[in-house]
Amino acid sequence: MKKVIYTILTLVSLASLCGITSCSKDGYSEMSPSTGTGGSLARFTISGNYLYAVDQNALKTYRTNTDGSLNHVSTVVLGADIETIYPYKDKLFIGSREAMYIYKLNNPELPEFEQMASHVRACDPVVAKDNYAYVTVRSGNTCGGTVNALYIYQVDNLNYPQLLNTYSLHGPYGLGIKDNTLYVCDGAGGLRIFDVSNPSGATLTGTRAGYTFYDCIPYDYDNVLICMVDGGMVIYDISNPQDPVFQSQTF
Amino acid sequence: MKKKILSLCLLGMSIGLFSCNRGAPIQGTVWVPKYLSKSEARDIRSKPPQAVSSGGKIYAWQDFVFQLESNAGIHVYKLVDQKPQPYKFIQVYGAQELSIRGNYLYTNNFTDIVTLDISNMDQVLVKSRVENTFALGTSTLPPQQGFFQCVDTTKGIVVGWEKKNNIEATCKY
Repeated sequence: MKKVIYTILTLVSLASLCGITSCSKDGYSEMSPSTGTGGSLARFTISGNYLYAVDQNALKTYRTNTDGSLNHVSTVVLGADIETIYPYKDKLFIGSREAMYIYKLNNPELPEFEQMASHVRACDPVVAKDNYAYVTVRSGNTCGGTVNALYIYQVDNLNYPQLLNTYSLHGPYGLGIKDNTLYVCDGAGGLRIFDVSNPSGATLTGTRAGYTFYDCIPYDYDNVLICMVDGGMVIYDISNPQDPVFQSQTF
Repeated sequence: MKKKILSLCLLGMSIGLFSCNRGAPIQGTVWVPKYLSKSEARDIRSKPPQAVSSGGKIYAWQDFVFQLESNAGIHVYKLVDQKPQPYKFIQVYGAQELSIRGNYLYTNNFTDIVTLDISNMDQVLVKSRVENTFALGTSTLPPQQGFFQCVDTTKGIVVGWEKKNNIEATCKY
C-alpha cells in the first residue's frame, strides 16, 4: 500500500515538475502552462524551450536551460526595421515596417522562412489565429507611410498570404484575439472590437473610448483583457468577449 | 585648427558616432549626456512598487501582470478579482522587453539579455547574462537637433540627456 502511495506521489511530483520546466513535446507556447503571455508589440517571445528575440534587423534564437542559462543557437537576418514577433502554433509571425514575415519552427533552433506579405510602409504588429493573420498598419513620423488600417490575411497552405480585407482606422497600434473576437488598439480612436467569426467579413461591433490604447492581451486567467494605455494599464472583464466591461486601472 | 576639427568630425562620422558641421566648437547651453557606470547599469534588484512614469509593454504570467517602465525596470502587479494590485518593482536599467517561462524572467539590460529567477520576487536573482546580443540601434543622440556634448563611452552607458550651460560642444546633428 505504501508503495502505491509513493508511486502516486512520485508521479504527481513529476507532473508538477513538468509544469515548471514544461515537458510539452510539441513546443507550442500556448500549451505550456508555465509560459506567460505577451502583447503584440513584443520583441521577445517564448515558444517551447526557446526564447526568440527580434532586434533591429535579425531574429535570434536562444535555448532556455533549466539552470536559467541561455545558449544563443542561431541568428537569421531579416532586413531593416523589424518591430514585433508573435508566436502561433508552430510559427512565428514577424512584423517589420515593410512586411509581415512568417517563419516555421520545424527545427526550433533555426526558424525557416515560409512566406511574407509586403505592405505599405508603416508600423505593423500582427496576431494570428487558425488560418488567419491580423495586421495593423499605422502611419506617422516614426513609422512612415500614410495608411491607418487593419489588414486581414489568409495564411494557410499558400505560398504567400492572401489579403482578404482591409478596414480603415484612426491610428492603430497593437491587437489581441480571443475566440472570435479581435481587439484592435486604435490609439486615441479607442479600443475597437471586431467579430471575426467569418474573417473575410469581419465586422466592427463596438468601441471603448476614454484612453489612448496601445496594446492589449486577452488573458484567460480571470477572464480579463489587459490593455496598455497612455498612463499605465486598464483591465476589462471579457467574460463576454464581445462586451468588454471596465474593471480597473493602474494609474 | 579648423582642418583638424573637420578631420576629427569626418572620422567620427565615418565610424557612425555622430555627424558634424564645419564650424568650430561652441560654448553655450547644450545637451549633455547622462551616464550610468557599467556596474550601476548592471544593478538589478527588487524594490517596492513605484508609480508608472513612462509605461511600456505589458505581459501576463500566472496571477501576475507586468508593465515595463521604459529603460528603468518592470512594474509587477498581482491580479486580484480583476484588479492589479501593485506588488513590486524590479529595477533593470535599459529594459524594454520581457518574457517568462517557469520561474525565469528574460529581459534586456540594455543590449544584454539577462535571466532573472523570480521564484522569490522580494529578491530576484540574476541567473545568467548574454552580453551584447540585443541591438535596437537606439541612437545615442539628444532629443533635439543642434550642438551637443560628444558621448564619451569610457564614462559608461548613456541613459538620458540634460541641458547644461556653459559647455563646450563639438558634436552636432
